[in-house]
Amino acid sequence: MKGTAGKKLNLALNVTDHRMLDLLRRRGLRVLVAALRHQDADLSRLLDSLKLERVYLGAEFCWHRMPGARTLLKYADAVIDNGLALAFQTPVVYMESFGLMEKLLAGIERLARRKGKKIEVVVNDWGLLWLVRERFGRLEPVLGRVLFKIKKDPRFVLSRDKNFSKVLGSVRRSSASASIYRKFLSSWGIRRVECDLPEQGLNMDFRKAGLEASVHLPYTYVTSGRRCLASAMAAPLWEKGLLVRDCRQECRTQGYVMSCTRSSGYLFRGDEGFSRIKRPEAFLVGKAVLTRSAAADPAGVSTLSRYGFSRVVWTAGAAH
Amino acid sequence: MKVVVPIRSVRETDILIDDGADELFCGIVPPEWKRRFGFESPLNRRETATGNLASYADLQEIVAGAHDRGVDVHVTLNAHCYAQEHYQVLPSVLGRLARLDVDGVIVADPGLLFLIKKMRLPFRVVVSGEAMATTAAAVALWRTYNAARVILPRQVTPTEMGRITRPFADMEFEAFVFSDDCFFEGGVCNTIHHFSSDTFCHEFLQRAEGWGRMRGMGDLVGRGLTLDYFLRMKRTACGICSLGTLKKNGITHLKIPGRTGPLESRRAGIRLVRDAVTLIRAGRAGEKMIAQMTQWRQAVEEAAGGRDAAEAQRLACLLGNSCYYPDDPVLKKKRRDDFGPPRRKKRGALR
Repeated sequence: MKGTAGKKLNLALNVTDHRMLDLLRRRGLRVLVAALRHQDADLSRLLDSLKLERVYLGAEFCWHRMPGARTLLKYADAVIDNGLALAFQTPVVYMESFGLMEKLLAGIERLARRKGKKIEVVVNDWGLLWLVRERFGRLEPVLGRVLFKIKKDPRFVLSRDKNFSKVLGSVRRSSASASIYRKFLSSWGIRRVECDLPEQGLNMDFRKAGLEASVHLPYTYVTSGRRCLASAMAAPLWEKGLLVRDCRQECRTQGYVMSCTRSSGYLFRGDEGFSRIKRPEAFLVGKAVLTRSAAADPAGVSTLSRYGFSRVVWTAGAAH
Repeated sequence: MKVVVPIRSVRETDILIDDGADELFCGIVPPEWKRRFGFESPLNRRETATGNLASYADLQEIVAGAHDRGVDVHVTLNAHCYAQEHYQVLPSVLGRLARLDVDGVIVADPGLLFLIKKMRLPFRVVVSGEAMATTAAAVALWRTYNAARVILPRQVTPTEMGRITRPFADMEFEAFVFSDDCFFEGGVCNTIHHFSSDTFCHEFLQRAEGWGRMRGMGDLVGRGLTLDYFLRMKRTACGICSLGTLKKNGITHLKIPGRTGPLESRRAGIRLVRDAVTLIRAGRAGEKMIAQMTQWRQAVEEAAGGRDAAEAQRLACLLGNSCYYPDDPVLKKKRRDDFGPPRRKKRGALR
């Protein structure tokens, strides 16, 4: 499948389930792909049409989900030994976790040197971008979707406000459309950005803007923070509000579905006129709120080329 | 520590300064911006007419009035992103602000910081909390764009603030102290604040339903209690009990956000924070200080909403679900002592 004129759209897997990574390590790529095909019909169809070239490891939204250094490097080794490229995903970082991230980046850089490979680091934190540029020049920074700024509100499907329709053009464009913002990115060594598909649609051509771009499917990131309902569950009442806490990764098996209180169903007016009734839903998984992208079905994926994307990053398994 | 207060009309200038504001900040949606982009795609994070000045003439009057009284005025340009068409207007907006003698701009978008540096504008550059300076490394990055002050995001703990501020003795650091809390972290939130009658977090949390595997009744109860705890989170959070800790950890400015809030609630906030600062300067600390602060806080709620509101605030103070800094070591210890299991001395005796 072509992503841009003459440029192919490639596939990367964002593997959030460590059992899948263990499968890759022990049984190799073919067995992993077979297991993923069995688990996810949409991914199976994508694998038929796109070339799998990369695996994403790490954690995008919460440092508690980051594997330990030794485990991470074992998985990273397995990815590279199976002929795939690697992207190391990093979350928003506070001082609490900064030291750990520094250690992990050092390990990843040593691996890159040892294997003679380029490894991407997906940064979702400005401080980590500074760190990667200052101390780990061998690693290639990529702007993650938490830092890729564009309005994303699931309630857009509820809007009949004519004022919003006036500015729809602007809210469909991100800061990456601005040449001065791209100069900023370039000054920090960023040539690739990652995003997903907002409810109101996207009005960008990354190829024309001179940026490489990846699109994350099937989940769209909305918001996150440091509070975690899942980990607060086990905490006594007077400690539920704490921001720094131990974590038993309850979010791997539990979450919340949130729906708009005002909605019992609305007609969604898209570019092609009125379409099906939609009730906006969002999933709170750990610290992050995500929605399922409408473009996740195979017909939607085939339209991605108009935005100039060169990579589809598919989250295999749980949302994060 | 200086108190930084939002202003939204000319008539408020003297009132807020008389109440004790050391610095003012405001938003503006000038006519040329409004014509092209409306309030729905504004210069800042408040996508509404309320809380934004509508003209440069108003801004000029506020700046003149504040400068007469030795008070600085900052303009907030803290939208997370500006598209290419916004950058066709931004240079003229910035030029106009410079000619109006505005003291500083509060910025979140890196592209705008890049532009301000390139234009060599005379403003003080204040990095917004929306720019997510959550680590010393992030401050180092923003400093390359001549940032003189950094507003630390809401969810940075007081102890972490100390680690962030220590390497930058020549910079100013601002922290939130009263009003407008956020369940999520504003700088990584892509939702629209004023899209409908309520914010995304409040609107959606009210209808959150749990899913997933639970191990037993304990989990079911835990989930219900947790959701209830956060649903009771008051919109007006407060950090006055932590002022001593904030001061110790390098905070120089205290922010009262909430430009869209009514004047009376901002005035109540200023008076509360000023009284709290006086108490801290007098060297008060510990449990007696917390008791005094919570009493004042309840008084503010009682004045606004009666006895029931005061009682709700008392519970909120006890449980910490409307506390800006629940991880403050002093407050953590107090809650553990108030509610936690009794601690044992050596040889099994209870304390």
